[in-house]
Amino acid sequence: MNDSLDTGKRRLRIGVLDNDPCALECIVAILRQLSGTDICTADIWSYSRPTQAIQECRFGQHTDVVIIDMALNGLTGAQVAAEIRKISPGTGIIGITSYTPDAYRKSLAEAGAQALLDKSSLRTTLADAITAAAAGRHYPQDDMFPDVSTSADAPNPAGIHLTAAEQRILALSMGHLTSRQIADELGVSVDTVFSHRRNIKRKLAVNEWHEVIERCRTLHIL
Amino acid sequence: MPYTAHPVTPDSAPASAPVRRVSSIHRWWLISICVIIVISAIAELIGLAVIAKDDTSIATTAALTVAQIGATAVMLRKARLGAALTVILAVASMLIPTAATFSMLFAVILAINILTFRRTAEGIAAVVVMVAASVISGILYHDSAMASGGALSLGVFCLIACTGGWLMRQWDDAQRRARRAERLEHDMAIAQYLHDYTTNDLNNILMLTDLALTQPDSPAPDTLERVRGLAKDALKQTRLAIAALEHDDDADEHTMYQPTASDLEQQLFAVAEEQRTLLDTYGYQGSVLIGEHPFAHCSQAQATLALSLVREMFSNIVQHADPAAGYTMTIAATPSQLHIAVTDCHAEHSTPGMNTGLARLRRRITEAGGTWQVEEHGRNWTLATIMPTE
Repeated sequence: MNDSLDTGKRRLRIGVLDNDPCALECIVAILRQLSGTDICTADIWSYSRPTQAIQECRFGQHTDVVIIDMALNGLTGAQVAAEIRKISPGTGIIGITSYTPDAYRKSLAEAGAQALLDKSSLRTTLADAITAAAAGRHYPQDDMFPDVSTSADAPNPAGIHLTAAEQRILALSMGHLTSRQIADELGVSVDTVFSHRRNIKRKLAVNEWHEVIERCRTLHIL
Repeated sequence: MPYTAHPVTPDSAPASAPVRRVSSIHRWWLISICVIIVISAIAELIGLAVIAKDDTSIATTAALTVAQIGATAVMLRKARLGAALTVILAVASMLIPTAATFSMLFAVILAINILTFRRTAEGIAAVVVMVAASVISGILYHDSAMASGGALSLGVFCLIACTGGWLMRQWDDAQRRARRAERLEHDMAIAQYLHDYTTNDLNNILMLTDLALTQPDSPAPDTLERVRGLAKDALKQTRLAIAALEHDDDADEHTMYQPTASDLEQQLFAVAEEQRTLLDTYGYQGSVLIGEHPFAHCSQAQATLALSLVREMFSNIVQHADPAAGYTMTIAATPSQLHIAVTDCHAEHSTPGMNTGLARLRRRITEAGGTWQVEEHGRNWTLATIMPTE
């Protein structure tokens, strides 16, 4: 997140995923109107396909808040939320639905989201929900949803997921092997080792490799 | 993946020959009619024997009847020859002053039917000959049945027999075309099955071999084990496909069974996990999201097609995608549609697009009423398909 230089308002990057093109357009329009409130939405991306939204979270610039529809042509919003939580632990997630929210509340909370809103009342609730999720808090305060830090750290199904290859690289790194030595040990190229390391850093939301080791020790990942 | 083998029957010979053999179904019908004719002829012979105790003119009729029984017997063995003999005997019976028998009439109708079925021109020629003979008989013997309208009746019966034979031929042609199309479709399906499985397995072998070649000394044992496993699977699938093509009835242990949608669903999960692990080895970070019971509303053919598509999508990732950017694939279904999509980022040196397998699947999916959409945003590439289900 970057603070605006002139207004003090928070500049956020917000993503929207909804397979209904009309709903998608409306939500984006609502977000653009929020520029008059205490949130300044600097960057909005929107997709109707879960694959594109997940790739955006994986490969694109860091997204502060993702808004996800709960019904996505056979996929649930909770499934997508869980995947985004793995890929981008620092992103706030808000679910939205046209149906009864209670049907999705539990699964979405377990997936690591921070709020679930009824689409019919987005105009009155979305701003506060975004403010809370961008700050890493759940919304509303008395709801069952976890904070971002809790959902990213807790050993739940939506927690940090390292693949077998990543775990092997981490284990070898803790043995003080260089990338070249790790590559030789695993029978892969050095570029592959670097690729795995980039992904590990992203999943653990750190910038340096020594921070990865510390975080793994803190979280008892290995 | 196991596949249904449709045994080819002996009747599915190419339908291009103008003279056709009598099929097994037709043969039973022919035997039945011939038996009826022979029985009626024998009954008429007995009757003639009783009448002709002192009448030598009936002897000719009796002789012709005996000859007709013989011709009918020949018809059972060589239908065309027997039919021709029957027509000749019928012409002879009309040109010689003898009493016509009902069994002779039945035999002629059968003969014309057979001749038309075998070759239309022969049937028409038989009708012409019979009508001509009946007219000549009417002219020669003014008191014969042919002179008092019998020729017209006989002509009508012959035409009906000829038409019946022609209709049977048309129906038989349609059956042969359907069987040939079914066989071609079956063989095409086997070819596609071979492509879907062995091509992907061979591709994976190549990737693992490339991986092994980068190792300084000797390939890692688990890499070799995986290569071996893939080669073994490809060989097994190839043998199954060859057995199906050869329609080997003795190779029961190689018979392909027809998987249910539930079996295919399990295969889908297995394929997703296997491919994700393989891609992870190459540094591809990816997500595969599968909805609940994706094949619940699919037919076996639709589920098979979807599984082929998923395999090709993984293959396409390896061929075109940038490992550093990862990939995301989703497979999910609503009650009326199956949605399969993939997004990745094409590698800088690669041209975004589809491999030949995906191109072939595109045709099959669109022909089945589905949609195929490709979107490109910068280097991001998305393929989204929708297949209507039951």
